[in-house]
Amino acid sequence: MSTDWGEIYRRSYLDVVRFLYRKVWDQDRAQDLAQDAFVRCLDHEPDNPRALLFTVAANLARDEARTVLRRRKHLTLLKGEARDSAPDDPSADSERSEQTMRVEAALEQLTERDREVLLLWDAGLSYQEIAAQTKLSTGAIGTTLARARKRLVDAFESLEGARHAAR
Amino acid sequence: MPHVDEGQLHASLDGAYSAGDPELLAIRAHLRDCADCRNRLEEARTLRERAGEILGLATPLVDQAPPFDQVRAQRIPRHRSRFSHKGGLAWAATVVIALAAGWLARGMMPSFRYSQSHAMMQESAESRATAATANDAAPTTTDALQATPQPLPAPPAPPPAMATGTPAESDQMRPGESSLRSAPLADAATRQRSAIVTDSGRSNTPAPATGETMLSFQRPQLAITAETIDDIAPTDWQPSTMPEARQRYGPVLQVPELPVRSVAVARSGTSILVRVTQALPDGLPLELLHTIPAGEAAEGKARAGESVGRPTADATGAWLLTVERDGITVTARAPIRPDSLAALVERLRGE
Repeated sequence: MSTDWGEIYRRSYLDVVRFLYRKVWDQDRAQDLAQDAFVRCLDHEPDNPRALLFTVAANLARDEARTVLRRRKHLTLLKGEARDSAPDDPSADSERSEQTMRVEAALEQLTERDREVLLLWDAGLSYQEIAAQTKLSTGAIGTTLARARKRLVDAFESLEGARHAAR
Repeated sequence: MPHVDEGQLHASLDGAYSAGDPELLAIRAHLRDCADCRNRLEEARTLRERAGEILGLATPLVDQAPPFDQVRAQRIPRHRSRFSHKGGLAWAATVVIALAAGWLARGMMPSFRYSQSHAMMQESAESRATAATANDAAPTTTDALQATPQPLPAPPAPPPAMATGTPAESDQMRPGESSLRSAPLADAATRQRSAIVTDSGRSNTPAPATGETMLSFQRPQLAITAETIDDIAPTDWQPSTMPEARQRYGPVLQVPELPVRSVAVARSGTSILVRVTQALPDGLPLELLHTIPAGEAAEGKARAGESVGRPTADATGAWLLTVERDGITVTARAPIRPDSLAALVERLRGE
């Protein structure tokens, strides 16, 4: 039976975007990469389409990270432009931005494997799918998630505490 | 059973076990008897919920997927089917048939070409004798083929030559062609025939007066706006290069640090349009549309000075900023903020 990528797309697009967003931290880029991941999968008939989809998405995010430094140099102008743009509610936007940055910083304190497992779980993959993608045993996923959650919460609370102390 | 480990607690909270899984049954049995593990289960539940909340703070503001067809349209086949070569052959056959038909049609034209050319030469010579300047010319080939009848001014001018085709075609234009190309035309049908004559370019026609080389048009001059630019059919834009455009039309501008993606030339009214597309970082396009008055393009005159207009947004959300420099109007358009666009415009250079 052929893979119904249309149905998988409808069920999984937002999950893939969320997964990618927490890797590239750019909403538009996350959507572009998500669509790219689907495009790359369309010609495949995998046993587990979602696992393939997230594998491709993770690889795209990894490639993206490799080019970020090169691009960052050239983006100075546009970044300045974004900085200059005044949102309708600067305080709300700033608060959201700070929260996102703290989450990003907290995730950075996890090991790559813990972070990957946590993001895949939060994107909706099952233990079996996560195990297939990360090459871990299914039994190890729970342990990895437990460790990742604890580190994330500790790191985030620490950053929050530092922020309050600075005020 | 020994105490339940953290992984098992989280797995049970995550619903990782199937209903009848022996491991799940053992965990439940242990939890019934072990208050310590029940407390740890509650701690794990709190931790799990808190981690979910934290991740929820970094959620993209996307709530809808674009249509799947949009994604499918980007699909690139990994390999051709075994029948695909037939499609290629069909495509090639189509090209061959089209070329053959064009060649046959060409063979049917000579007498017409000769008579039309001759008539136009005579008409052109008469016009030249009665008018001093010219702002008219034959339409482009595309114009002619698509032309609808429209009132045209009385044949006014000594039709200076014009470049009707691509710059490459212009390079190949013989002196004798120019008077033919710019002959005043009365109606759409004549304009179409004129285009055919223009393409001939091989008749033995006398050379025009020197200096009557380029850029005059029959159409009334159009005001150059972003909308006007977008109205120009893609087929009217003829590819060119920066050196060629500068050689022909003068100081075509660009931002020196940015790569040039394409250069194209079109004609509108009595102006030449030169469109330079450069790549901004991250692949965003910067479009520099030069509006060069035909007279200045031909004579190389330039008015000194520079003035910059106010940024305006177009329907797509891109910003436009027009600068007039030394007699050439350049409209920069890019999907970036107007202050960045202004910064880019300041960096425009002609060399």
